[in-house]
Amino acid sequence: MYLESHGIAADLPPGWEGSIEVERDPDAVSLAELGGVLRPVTHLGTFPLPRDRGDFGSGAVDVMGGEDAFIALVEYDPAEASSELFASRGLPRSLDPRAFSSQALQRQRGRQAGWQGFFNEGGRAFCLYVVLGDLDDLHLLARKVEQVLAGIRVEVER
Amino acid sequence: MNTTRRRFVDRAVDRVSTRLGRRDADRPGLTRRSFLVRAAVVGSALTIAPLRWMVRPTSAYASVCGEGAACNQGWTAFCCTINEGANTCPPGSFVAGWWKIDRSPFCEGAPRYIIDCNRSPGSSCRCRCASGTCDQRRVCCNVFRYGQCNTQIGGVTEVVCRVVLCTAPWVWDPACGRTVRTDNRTRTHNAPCLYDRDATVIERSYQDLGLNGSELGEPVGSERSGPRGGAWQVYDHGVLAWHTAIGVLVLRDAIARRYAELDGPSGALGYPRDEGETIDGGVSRTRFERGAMYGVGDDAFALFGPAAARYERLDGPVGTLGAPTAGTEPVGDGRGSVTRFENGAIYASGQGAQPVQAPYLATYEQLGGPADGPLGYPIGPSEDGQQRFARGVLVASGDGAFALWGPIADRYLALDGRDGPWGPLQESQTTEAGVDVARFAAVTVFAAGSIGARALDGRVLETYLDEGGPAGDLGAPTTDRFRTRTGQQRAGFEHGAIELDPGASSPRVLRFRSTRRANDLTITP
Repeated sequence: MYLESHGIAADLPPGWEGSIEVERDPDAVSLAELGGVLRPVTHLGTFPLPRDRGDFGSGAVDVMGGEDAFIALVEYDPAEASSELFASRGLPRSLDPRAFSSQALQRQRGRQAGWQGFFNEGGRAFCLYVVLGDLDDLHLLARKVEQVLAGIRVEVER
Repeated sequence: MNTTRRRFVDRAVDRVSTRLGRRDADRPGLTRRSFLVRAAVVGSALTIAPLRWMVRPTSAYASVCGEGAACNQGWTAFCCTINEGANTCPPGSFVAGWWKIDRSPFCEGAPRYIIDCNRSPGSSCRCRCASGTCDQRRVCCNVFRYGQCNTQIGGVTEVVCRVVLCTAPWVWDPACGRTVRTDNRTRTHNAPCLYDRDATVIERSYQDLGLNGSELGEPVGSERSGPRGGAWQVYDHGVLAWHTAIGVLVLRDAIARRYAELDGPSGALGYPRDEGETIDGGVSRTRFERGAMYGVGDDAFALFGPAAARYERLDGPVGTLGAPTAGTEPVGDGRGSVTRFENGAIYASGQGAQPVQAPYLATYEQLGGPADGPLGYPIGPSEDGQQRFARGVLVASGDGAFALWGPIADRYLALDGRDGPWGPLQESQTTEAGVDVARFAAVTVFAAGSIGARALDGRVLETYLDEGGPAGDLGAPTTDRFRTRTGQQRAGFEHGAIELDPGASSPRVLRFRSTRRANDLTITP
């Protein structure tokens, strides 16, 4: 499966699905009119992603199994790309399973483990948030995610 | 209509709460304390969402605190739950990011924003469950960051707690960026220390300001209705006033206290038009529909109507009047007001508002001001060494001012005032034997009844004064001293005349007989 939108492309291995979307909700559009910045969110998962999900995967992580993985690649205002939080350069392509923790989640849930990293690439600011389904399978699941990360391309901000 | 609805709800709630209370009370193992806590939550739930609470198979906890309120459900607690009621980031944490919930009933259908307060680098905190209310979510456990705020701080730390807002985060805190992130799965999350779905505009604003963690402190009394559908609420250190035309405005400290004393928007000032600004030297100004309030140190002075507008046109505290020293007060005649300042006063009436300053103010007020004095209200500012009033004029002289009023003032002004033929005024007008007297450098002017102001000088004046002036038997002058065609100097009086022939050394005094006819004169050699 190949996804491409908003200057982001993801070549997904079999068994993955995903979306690259900028929010279109009327509230978001109204906020944009008030100065809010709308940037894309990429959601990738090894399970069917429910339609109603938060930007960091709430709703989706609720239905993932122990053998599943979820990736959120969340983009921010490019003006933040040079800030301290986004100082790390380049999308992480390899993950350290030891960095994953059940505490590093938006919401602690069962045996899930998470990891979050902020970075800049191509003049753009991103957060990569990964949720793995089972603390006991971190190595295997992290490798699965790395396969996907290897296929993600980010275009330079114009 | 509201009242009817509330009565129905109240009655229904009474019935259900009785049943549910009995159900809980009958449950074995329920301690008195836990029952009371539960009862409080039941009460809150019934107050907040009574119909929903009755008809849906949900617990009171879920009704007040929303979904995911238990610690093991993984969400983070609200700050007010753990921060003594304050809807603010507690010490040792910083605003780290935010998300929105679309069309939230907590924000009257507008987006609601949840702000994460993360542990500050260098601070410490312990992962635990919040307790004491139904918001038993986690505290300082989830290492996670939304990432739009304070991006000068790198890294990801534990979320200590969550603040809620109905205001866009970048408006609420400029340290927050504008990238919009959304999580509608948190739609029902709430806590007893937060306002419910039926919160008023003022309550929502107070919550956005931080509840009791705001500069306003705790509410004092309940929210009050204002004119034209508005409302206002007094707090320990301020006032919130709301009306559709102005939105919610915050008044602080002394200005807020005085505004409350003046009955808020129902009083003479009406609704505020801004939240105040510092003018100069620590003096602040807040504008209202019908005036302005000035904060000077720990005091606040309310200026109403035309006095307020005039003061502002005179550059307010940085103008010549200086800062107010008292608010606008009635003069006592029921027609006007006075407002006092460091360097003068503004008197206002139906004829407008005018400043009265040194050197005029002391004389004006010694004479009784507008209500008890002869001058009436000022009708213009001081100009060219004098200030005009409804019934007179004050003329500057040295460090002070002299007053003229009535016919003498009218004639003085008609004759070009200090540039006219009478010359400088020597003292304020007086009254002798019922006759107004004003002494100028060149003449002395007398006015009695309807005769008008008459000016005498030279030998004629001296003779008149020698004869007793207004108290003498000549009475008041009825003409100026004038020169006839034959060169005679003459002045007429109520009861006679004084004549000075050309070349004569002394004037003649002519007195009317009692009939006062012109041909009945008695001549005094």
